[in-house]
Amino acid sequence: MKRRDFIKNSALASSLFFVPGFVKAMDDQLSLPSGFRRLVIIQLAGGNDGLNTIVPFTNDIYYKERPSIAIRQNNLLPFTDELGFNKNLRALKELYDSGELTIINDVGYPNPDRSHFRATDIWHTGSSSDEQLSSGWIGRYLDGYAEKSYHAVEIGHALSLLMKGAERNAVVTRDAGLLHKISADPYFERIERFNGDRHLSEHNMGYLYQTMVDARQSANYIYEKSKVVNSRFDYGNSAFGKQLKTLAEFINSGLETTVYYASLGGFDTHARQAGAQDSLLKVYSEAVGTMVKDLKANNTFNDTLILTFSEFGRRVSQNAALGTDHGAANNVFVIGNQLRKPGMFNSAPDLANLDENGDLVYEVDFRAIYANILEDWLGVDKGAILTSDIAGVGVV
Amino acid sequence: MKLLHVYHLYRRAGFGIKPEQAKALTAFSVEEVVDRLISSSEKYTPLEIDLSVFEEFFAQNPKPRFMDFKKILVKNKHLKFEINKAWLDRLFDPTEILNERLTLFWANVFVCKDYVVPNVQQFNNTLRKFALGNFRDFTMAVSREPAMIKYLDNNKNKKGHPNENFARELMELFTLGVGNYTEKDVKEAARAFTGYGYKLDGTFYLKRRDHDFGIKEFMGRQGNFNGDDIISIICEQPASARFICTKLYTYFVNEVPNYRHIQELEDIFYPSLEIRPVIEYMFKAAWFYSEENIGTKIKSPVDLLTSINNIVPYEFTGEKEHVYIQRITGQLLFSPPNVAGWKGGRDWISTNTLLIRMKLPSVFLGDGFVPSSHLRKLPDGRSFGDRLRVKSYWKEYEKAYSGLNKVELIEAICPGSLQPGTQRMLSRETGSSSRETALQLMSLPEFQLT
Repeated sequence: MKRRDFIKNSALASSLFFVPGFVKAMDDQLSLPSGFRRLVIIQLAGGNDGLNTIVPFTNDIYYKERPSIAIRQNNLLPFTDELGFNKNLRALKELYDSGELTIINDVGYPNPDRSHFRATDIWHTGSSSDEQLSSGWIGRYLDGYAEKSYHAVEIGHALSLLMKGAERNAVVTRDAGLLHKISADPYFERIERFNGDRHLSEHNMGYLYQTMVDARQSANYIYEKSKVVNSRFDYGNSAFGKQLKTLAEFINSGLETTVYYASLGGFDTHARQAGAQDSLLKVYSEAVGTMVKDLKANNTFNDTLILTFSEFGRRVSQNAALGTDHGAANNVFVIGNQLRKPGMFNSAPDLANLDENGDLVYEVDFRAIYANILEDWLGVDKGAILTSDIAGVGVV
Repeated sequence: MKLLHVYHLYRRAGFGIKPEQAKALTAFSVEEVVDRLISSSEKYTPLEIDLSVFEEFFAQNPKPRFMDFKKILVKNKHLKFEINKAWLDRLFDPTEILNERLTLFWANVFVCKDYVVPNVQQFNNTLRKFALGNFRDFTMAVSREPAMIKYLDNNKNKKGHPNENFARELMELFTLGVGNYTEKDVKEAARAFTGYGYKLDGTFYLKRRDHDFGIKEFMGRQGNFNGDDIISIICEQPASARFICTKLYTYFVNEVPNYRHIQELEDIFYPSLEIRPVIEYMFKAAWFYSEENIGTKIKSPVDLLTSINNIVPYEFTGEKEHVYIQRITGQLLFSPPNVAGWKGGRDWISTNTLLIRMKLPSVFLGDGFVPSSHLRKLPDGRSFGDRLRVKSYWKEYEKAYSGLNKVELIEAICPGSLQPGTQRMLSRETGSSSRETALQLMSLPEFQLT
């Protein structure tokens, strides 16, 4: 979709505004342009240990390198003759069984960086390891293809680099009701009236004024659209579960948001990995599983793709503290019902062939997944967004 | 010294200054004011909350067991709210202002987080103690802090199975920055920090059995290096001075680094790594007072809270309200998001945080709406409901600010110049009282800058 078409479609959608709210609420999908597709990005922040997530239970090297943290077959959810899900990933196993999950192994990039922050920046910006970019790949998508900040929404407090564009930033929200109430202060409207709604200055002052305008616009829009939708699904009590609940409510209320982002932290398991990782994977799996059910119940799953990544995997060999140190390549999950190759996208990691640090070697460049999603799912020109012209892989 | 410059210096090096005191300082030169600022931070006042439950515990248990210690911890969970409050109170009313500002700065360099409140307090006071001291000694002291030993897993770093967490972050985030060390340096440094341990009462000791006494090869040198040796070698690298001076510059002067100015700081800082002279140089430098550096930095949430307090003192009356506010604005003291700390600058501002930040002054100090002679209040009440109980002391405002005319008031409240549209808007506010004008100014995007 070109920017022009997007505007046209948006205009069409907004002409439906005179429809009474209750009709619109029941009719949400209609108010979205046909062919509308959205992407949900989830980060397992801290570096999830992919080898204890998708476990190669027939691999001797795995058990040799991890004498005290390797997971035995009887404690897994096997899905092939040699691979099993961590037992806390029951919902993911179900998605695998129904052909709605693709597992891509050994995803990474040349000269991997083992710093959380640099590695996260690389994944967020879509850069190579020797390239510094100050905007995220979703931010650049907003720059090129969206008219409103709320076309990308981060569920949280602060804005991630992923969602920062050169001209436009995504909306960040956690509590749409509170934000709406705050933004209703007539004084803020007055400030805006005297200063206009376009602030092109690159200085902090311009940034503040533009953010204020975006915040007020999106606070109104999101609140008005989403206030009628309350999910009846139980997302549990975890903060992440609540984030995904909000996210699902936004999707099911028909927001014209194409990209959502949420993050689950705590995967930096240098010590006593098992307990920590298990409970995090459980939180992740249950929340995502519930969200998929919620979307299916509201007919919004068909046009939703869920991408889960972590900034790096962990070292094959365990450390002295029953944990693992920072590694390199890792697995990526893609969830949806229009996958070209559900199941295992490529073969399991080769533990006999590691890099000089003892880490997995990448086989699929993460930017090839971005390219695929941009071109074949969001229908935009990857050349305007990615800095390298790596060809897309056929995930979706 | 110009009044504008006094305000600027005290906003950046401290937490603001009242108009009368600022005016008094205009009689002195920059050198005199900075010297006075520094000498009044010669000593430091440790942050101390009532930890007598722990003192009693150690008095009764000469050989304390961890299980018993843990019980005391769990029973006194509320102390983490208390120590947070104590630090915030300190920032609202600092004794040694420059020292307190630097403590806050260093807490975002040597980023650390812990749940054992006595260790948290001890760590925080180590920051205070070395805030204006020697960076090499400072780093060594930090490496021996129980909170840090736990946070970055040095307590699990053993001979034969090194844990790289501390060694990596030491170089990447505390002293050198990416690109100034190799993966091999990380592995070798990790060996040197093996065996770092601490007793429950917070004292450091080396677990000799777990320490690797072998020869290490670090940054082109060979030797039986221990942790202190590694820190010494790191501090000999010019990159460490550049790293710290860049952090100082982007925190105190401008979010956008000017490497010519940073080089000047490095020339002072290196090789002694004494912190006080470089701070002195920075605040006396002509460029510190140039226009592009005044009122152009985005306030951290702590800056926002303290700057409101400097105008109208207020206090949170509930037990956890101070925590709630820090959380929703994105800077909970003692609880950085990760080992890289808060990124600062524009990262403080999102569509979510900005409106909250602009709303806080009227919520803390008024009835939740910004007063204006042109606007009527909305009927549907306060945005935070009864969530926030805050007591404000407008009498203090009357004492310090009510004598100022509008131009003086703007200079005292908003650093930098106002947007033309906003100036027009304010000029139409006739008949507003001094209090109302103050609230209008504190509710502007301009007030988000320092």
